[in-house]
Amino acid sequence: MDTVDASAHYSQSIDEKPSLLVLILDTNPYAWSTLSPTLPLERALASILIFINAHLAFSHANRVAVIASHTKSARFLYPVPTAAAASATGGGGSKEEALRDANKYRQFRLVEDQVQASFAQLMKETTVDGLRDAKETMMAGALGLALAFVNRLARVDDAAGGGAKDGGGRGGGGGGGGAGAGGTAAGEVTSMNARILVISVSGDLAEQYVPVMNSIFAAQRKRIPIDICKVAGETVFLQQASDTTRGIFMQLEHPESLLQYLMMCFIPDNATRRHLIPPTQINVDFRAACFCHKNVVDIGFVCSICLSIFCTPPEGAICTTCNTKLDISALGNFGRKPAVVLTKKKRTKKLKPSKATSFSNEASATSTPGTPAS
Amino acid sequence: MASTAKGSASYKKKDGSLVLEKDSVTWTPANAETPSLKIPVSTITNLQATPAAVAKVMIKVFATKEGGATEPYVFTFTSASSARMEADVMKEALTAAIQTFKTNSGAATPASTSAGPTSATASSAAAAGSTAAKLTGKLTDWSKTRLETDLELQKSLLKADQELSTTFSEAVLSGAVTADQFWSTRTHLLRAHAIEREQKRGPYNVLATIKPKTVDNVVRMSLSREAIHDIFDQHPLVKRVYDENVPKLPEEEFWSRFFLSRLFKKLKGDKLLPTDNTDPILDRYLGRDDEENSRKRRKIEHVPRTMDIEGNEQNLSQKKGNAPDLTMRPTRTENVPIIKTLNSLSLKLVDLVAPADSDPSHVEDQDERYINEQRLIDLYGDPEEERIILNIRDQRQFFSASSNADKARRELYTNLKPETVLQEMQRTLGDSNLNLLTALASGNAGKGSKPQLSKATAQIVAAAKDRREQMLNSSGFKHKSGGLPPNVFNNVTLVHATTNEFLRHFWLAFLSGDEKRAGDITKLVNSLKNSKERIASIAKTADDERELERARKKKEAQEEYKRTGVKPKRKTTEVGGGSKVVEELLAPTIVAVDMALSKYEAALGKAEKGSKTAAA
Repeated sequence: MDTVDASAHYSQSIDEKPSLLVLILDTNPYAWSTLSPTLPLERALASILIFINAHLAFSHANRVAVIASHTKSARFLYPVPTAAAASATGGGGSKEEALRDANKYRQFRLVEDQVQASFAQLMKETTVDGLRDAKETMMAGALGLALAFVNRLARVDDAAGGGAKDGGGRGGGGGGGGAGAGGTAAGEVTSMNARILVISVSGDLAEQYVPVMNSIFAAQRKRIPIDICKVAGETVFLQQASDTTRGIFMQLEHPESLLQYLMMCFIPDNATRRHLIPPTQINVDFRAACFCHKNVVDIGFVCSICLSIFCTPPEGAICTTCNTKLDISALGNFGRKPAVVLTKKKRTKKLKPSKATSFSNEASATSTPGTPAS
Repeated sequence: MASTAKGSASYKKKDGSLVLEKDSVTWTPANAETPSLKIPVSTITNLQATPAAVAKVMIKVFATKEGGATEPYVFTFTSASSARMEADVMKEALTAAIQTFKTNSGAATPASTSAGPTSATASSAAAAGSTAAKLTGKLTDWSKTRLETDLELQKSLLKADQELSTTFSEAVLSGAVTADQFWSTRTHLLRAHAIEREQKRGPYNVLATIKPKTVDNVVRMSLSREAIHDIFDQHPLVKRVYDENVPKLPEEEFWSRFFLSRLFKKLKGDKLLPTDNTDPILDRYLGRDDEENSRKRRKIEHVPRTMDIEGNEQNLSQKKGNAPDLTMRPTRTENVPIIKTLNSLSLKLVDLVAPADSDPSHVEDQDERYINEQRLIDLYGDPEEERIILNIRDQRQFFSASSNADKARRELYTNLKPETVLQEMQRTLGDSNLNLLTALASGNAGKGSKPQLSKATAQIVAAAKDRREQMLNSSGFKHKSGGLPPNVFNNVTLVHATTNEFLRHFWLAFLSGDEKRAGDITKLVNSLKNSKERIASIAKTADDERELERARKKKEAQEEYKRTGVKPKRKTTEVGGGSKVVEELLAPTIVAVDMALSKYEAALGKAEKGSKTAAA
């Protein structure tokens, strides 16, 4: 946000790299079920597929990956390892059909079929018992998969630029990734602009705070924007993800028009975005989740050694993460019970939120007073 | 023992020499070998000298003998040519010696208050010494307490930072925050300012900073004593020219001629033009190299063997019949390229500064250093890593702790049965593939999908607009004041700053859990309430101003219409600002204040209830 400068639009050279879209689809069945009155799954899926086709239509070198963030696991819907692909599509025999369908661009057909087939497969494998006690979504795992995929593609392509032999070998070994995008692309591409789009339908991720944050920082380092298309639910950390990685965050007010949102907000690739003003929503909730109870906290206590966050000073003043003995004497009674009137009686009062305070002496003095958001 | 000062002086009308050694003053008669008089510095209680105007040069030393009696010793300096100088040197050295003795022994021998030029110097020297000690003390002490009690430092910081000073006067002078509270949250600012004040300015290119000004068609220059001093330091050549010419030439004329001369241009690094003034005196020095003069300053005592090319002289290729080497020789051309002049000037400037970061007691062995540099470090193994080990416990252990999050997760989607949900999903996906077109029309999308679409579009466009507004604002394309008149906008920033200040102290006091601060909290709460009132009043002023501005614009537009007959565009009569903008700008502040107040009320209510129940 700070480095925005309109003049930069003119000085940057256009980079013509193809772009890689990694789409993470939250497949939490509960969430989709709740959504069905406004946005039935088939409609959402159709919108997403059309969006993917649009992305692929921009350039024959563009690539796509779809990852399902399911209740207990995250897995690739497209591309899938060759063996799995064969078994998934084998039953319908649609592959042959797809190749012969004259009314559709072959690439589109392949992606559509594959995504739907693996999605159906995923649902078949999901058991009722499995669903019973797993109601959230494995966003951290999905983000990890996405980052790994992006990294692998970039690596393969780098190697292809330098030493063709090695790159080719690894590209082949990489499974469906290279094969799906067509033989021509793999050799030519030197590097790709990657971005991650999360279509999120379910709620909070406090449970996965640390892994999600780690993924976010990895993406930031690799300059991979994480776009968030928030169809339903409330998450604090996905907002931070898009803010940190300079992605686009969009909370849909009218989920029925998912396709419209996808097409208007998320279609431009990284190179194009430099010339556009992103329609991202800017009120970012920067709160963190404490490590001890996984609560989202307004005011927290931070270990001065390992930066773990606690909602109350840990017991015995020993950090639970790094075992450091902390000096909390400087805190005094901070954050315990506000004394508003002079009295000698003891009162108990729950913790008051205001701002993050570290255990060091002067942090409370230097941090700016924030507005407690809750 | 090395003597620090020496002079030929007579004592009791006998000629001799007076010598100040490390801790005693000795006087040796002219024809004797051993000193006949020795006064230890420790016994000296006072020192007097004849004033400079008197022809006879004498120094009187008062020393206590055993038994406590004070005995004066009078030395008359006898050197014909340099009696005065010797006496001055002696006096200064003695003063210094006494001073060191006094500070070393720590026994404060009260300096006698008897009038006399020497005691004055002694006491001033003492004063200087103590301030120096204070300065060095300052340099190391950045502690919180010292900074917060240093009123002078705080004053100077307020003077330097206008914005801070307004906040200070608003919050402290007319508000509920005490000065101590105010500074306690700004120790970092104080510290930065203290460090900044301690820093000294290094030497700079003086000649370039002297710019002639034309007043009444006469070129004038102002030249301070320091500037002249710096010029002499940086350009020894100018000092030489000055020394050789100034008694003959009036000083004023010398400088005026100097600044017009080719010499000045040359030293500055300008190009010499044939049209430049010539000057019979100063031009003589043109050929002499300033550089050479300054080179002497930084003699290299020892050239490391590894880079000593003296041996090459033995291997001179000219002896073998080659043409003399014309390159790599210092040239004496008049128009040296500016880059060269600048380089040499920079070198000189660096030479003038005593390095602050090197330990003078540590003399580096140059040879050793160059040999070290040439070692092939790659061939050595990796140095052992010195890292601080961070012991991370298994994170799952504390993540599995039962918690609110767990509970929330269990409560999530409790109204949904997994069986139905899963069946629904499986049915939707089915075995056959979707037809995109029909799938898109599924659900209730068929009816009224168009308004939905346009609503979605509106949301996106609004977000983009918001974003654009922000981007333009942050890069300074638009006025940040949102159309508010400057005085109102100033008020807005001011009230924002002070309210933040109050909020900060409120939360500090509120969360401190310290009952002693309850009084502070009450005061701060009142200030916060006042802040809200102030915001309201500013909003009102903004509205008033807006009305005035609108009326003015309208009038203008009407006049324009009368004059030109062209109907004014609506836009020209539109006026920004008003209470809406003020409220928009201060909305977060108001939310913060309300939050603080509500928390306070809640705590107060609880406390009162608690005390009531306790009373009952």
